[in-house]
Amino acid sequence: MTEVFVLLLVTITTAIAYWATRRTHSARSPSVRAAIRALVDFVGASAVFFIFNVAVGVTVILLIRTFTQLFIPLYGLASLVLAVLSAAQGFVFHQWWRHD
Amino acid sequence: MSYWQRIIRGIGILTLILFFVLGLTPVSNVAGRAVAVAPRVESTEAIVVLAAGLFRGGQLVDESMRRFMKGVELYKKGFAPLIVLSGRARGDEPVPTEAEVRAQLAEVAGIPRAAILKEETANTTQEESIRIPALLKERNVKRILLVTESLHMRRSKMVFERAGLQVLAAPSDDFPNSARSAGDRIWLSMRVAMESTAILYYRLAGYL
Repeated sequence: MTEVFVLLLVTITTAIAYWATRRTHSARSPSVRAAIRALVDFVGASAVFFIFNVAVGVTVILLIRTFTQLFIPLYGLASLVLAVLSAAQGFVFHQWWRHD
Repeated sequence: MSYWQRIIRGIGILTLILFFVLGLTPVSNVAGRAVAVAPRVESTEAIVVLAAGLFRGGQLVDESMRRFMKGVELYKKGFAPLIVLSGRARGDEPVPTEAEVRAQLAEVAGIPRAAILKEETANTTQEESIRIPALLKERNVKRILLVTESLHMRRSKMVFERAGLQVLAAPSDDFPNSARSAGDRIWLSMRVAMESTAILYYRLAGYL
């Protein structure tokens, strides 16, 4: 039920923002499609960085565990901070690749 | 559009679809139920409560407390005369250990010290499955009730069975069935992915 409310809420605020943008910026449909494509690319780049970060993290932790007395738990990689930083990496590199 | 841009766009579409499917449908609940082990609570010789971690300052993390409370409940209901509490110290604080914090709480809950065994050195589930059976062997314990998170149970049960014990599952939660909100379902999906990867790793490393 909460999810339905959240989806409804997002739909309503999107519709309001779309209407306001069309009135003030004379935004055209192709621009909206380009923005959605940019969102999809950003999500894709963020997911790639998240997977890359986790893969490198697991490798480094297993190497440390194998060759030293230190113990670092793998659970540390299931972190919100890592997800947010991966999104930041995705955003920056996606912008860079777009303009290159 | 280059080949790599197309790949990244494809991953983006897949990620968004996954987000909605895992968050808004019961797919993650079904996957969670496939990974979890059904409870089988009967009288045994010992209750083994696996570690989950400590906050700085010696408080049990939520998961540790949930497992501990399940262990206390089983002991109080008379399912075993012995309770094994596991858990090392934090890396940055040599004392107390998680096992000692739990033991002190168990005494407050009315469990006699003589009925409590502690394992304070293991770092991983695999290490717990070596050290705890060694402790139990001295007391001729062969059948245990294992207490851990529902999704962690399959891997834990397999390594303890490999150590020669008969293991009955007593999960401390029912996340695969209780996760109903989108956030809980996404978290459940992540735990299923992590636990499936851990089982694969244990198989490759020869622990299972």
